[in-house]
Amino acid sequence: MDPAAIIQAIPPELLRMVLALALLAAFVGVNGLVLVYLERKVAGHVQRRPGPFEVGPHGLLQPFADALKLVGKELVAPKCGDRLLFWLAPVAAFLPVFVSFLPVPFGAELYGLHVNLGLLLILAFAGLGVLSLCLAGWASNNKYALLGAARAVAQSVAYEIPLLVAVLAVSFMTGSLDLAVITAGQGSWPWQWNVAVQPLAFIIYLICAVAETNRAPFDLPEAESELTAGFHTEYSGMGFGLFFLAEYANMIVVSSVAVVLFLGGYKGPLADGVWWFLIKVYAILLFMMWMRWTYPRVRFDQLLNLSWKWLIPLSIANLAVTAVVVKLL
Amino acid sequence: MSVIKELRRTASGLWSLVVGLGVTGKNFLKPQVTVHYPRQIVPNLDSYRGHIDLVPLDDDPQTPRCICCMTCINVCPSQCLSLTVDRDRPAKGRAEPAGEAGDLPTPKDGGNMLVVEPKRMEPPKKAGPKRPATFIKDYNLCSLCGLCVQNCPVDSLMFSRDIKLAGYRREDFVLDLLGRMRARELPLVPALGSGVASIRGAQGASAPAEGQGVAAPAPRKAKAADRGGPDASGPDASGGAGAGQPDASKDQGS
Repeated sequence: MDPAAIIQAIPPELLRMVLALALLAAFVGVNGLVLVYLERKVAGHVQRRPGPFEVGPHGLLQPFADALKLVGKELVAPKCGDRLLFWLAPVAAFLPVFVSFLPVPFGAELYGLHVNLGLLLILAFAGLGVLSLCLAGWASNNKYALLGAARAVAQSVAYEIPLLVAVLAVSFMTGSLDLAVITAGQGSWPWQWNVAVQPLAFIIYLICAVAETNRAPFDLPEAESELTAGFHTEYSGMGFGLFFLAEYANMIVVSSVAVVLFLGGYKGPLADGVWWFLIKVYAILLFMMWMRWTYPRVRFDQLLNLSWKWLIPLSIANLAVTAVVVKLL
Repeated sequence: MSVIKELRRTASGLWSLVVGLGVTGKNFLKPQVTVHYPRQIVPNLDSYRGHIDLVPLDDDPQTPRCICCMTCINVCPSQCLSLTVDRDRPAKGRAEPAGEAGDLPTPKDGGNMLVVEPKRMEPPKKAGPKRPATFIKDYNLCSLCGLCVQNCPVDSLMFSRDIKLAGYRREDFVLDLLGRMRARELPLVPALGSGVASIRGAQGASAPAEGQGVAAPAPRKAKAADRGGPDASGPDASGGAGAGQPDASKDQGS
């Protein structure tokens, strides 16, 4: 068996995908730590206090301490809950993130998989996150968790519609669902990005992204002060750690898609490249954190009203106008 | 009309969102309010409520103002105070102990009186209020409600500003308030030739025990304003960082 022949027999896309998955795992892991630290620091400074400060210089080692603590805890499951579903839920929350990252172009040649339906892939796997919330709530054998899960499903379903319609408007304009093509269609300067042409779609997308990731004023499913901890009440240790990590990973995914669709992807003034992509992604992440510590949590009926009565009509109107403009010009 | 009203309401609502972001954004850039203890110390502890401490008399800093009325002991909801009365002091309403010094025979007849009775030459012992011999506070039980401080008729109790109180055992927090006061307060300097020393001697002021051993820069004169509480004049209050400072600084207690 010739080693060279074996290596040549492996399709290059598979090799590329495996390499990309390994790098993405590292990226998500490192970002998880960085975002946890940043969130606490931003929260602290908005509240005029230091945030983590003692563990390491300026609290830089705090995420490592937290990770070690979570890993070292006992894995406890409720006695009468569904054991399989209970442990499946955090894994199902965490794994789709890696698939969602594959079609995203970090740089001109930095993508995991060239999928001409990249946008559809991402949106499809975002739905799996909702499923994991359902599983978590049901398998916990806890009425608070179940209520939290029910609210989460209602919220996600309500906000997926305007998200899709807003994204659809951009696809109409660009004529493709391929993220690489969408990025290539934008220029380097901010007025050449899609946000200049579709500002309403950008705002709607941002609101829906925050709602989909259960962040900021839309964190009813977690509702720390109301439903004990919502759907992850019964989780401790690594189960909770995975949900936590999945939330931050999902944040990065929606921010990356926002950057690709609306903010020019890896293109920027002076020099295109992955650095611009990362700067923009972090800008959106910091904005999401900023929003979290500004706005109070919306009530459930207010949440659904916002989606069904405001965002959906607005996004459909936006799509209609886009379609007319694209077809007539 | 209501549509326009609705739209205006929405517009002002959206603007309020932006204003909110501005408020948190500005706060993000403002300096922290947190005091990084122990690298920094809160500069003004005037309103800090630590455990209870005794307040000394203005003219005799080794004696507390306490008159043993037991109000604080009775009003304390946690029953954490206890005291014993000093039986060696002459108190009002108590018979003077018999057999004082200088029991010389009094001449009954009006003969030659060359021997002067020392008893009559001595200034009479002033009877005063009861004073405590011991005053114990069990800080393990105290809830810092302040009822004792509030209800003391002679203002003999105050809150200390001891922010560094820490110990390893329950017993560390059973506080001898009288001992603490005496270690904290310095004895008065007897002014030369004013006879003050003898009055104090007559009143049987207890010997300042631990206080004497402390190396003091200078014993202070009694001041009415000096009610045992540090008025936190700048450098003294913030000098609490040095744990080895002598008690004579009488700032944050021992």
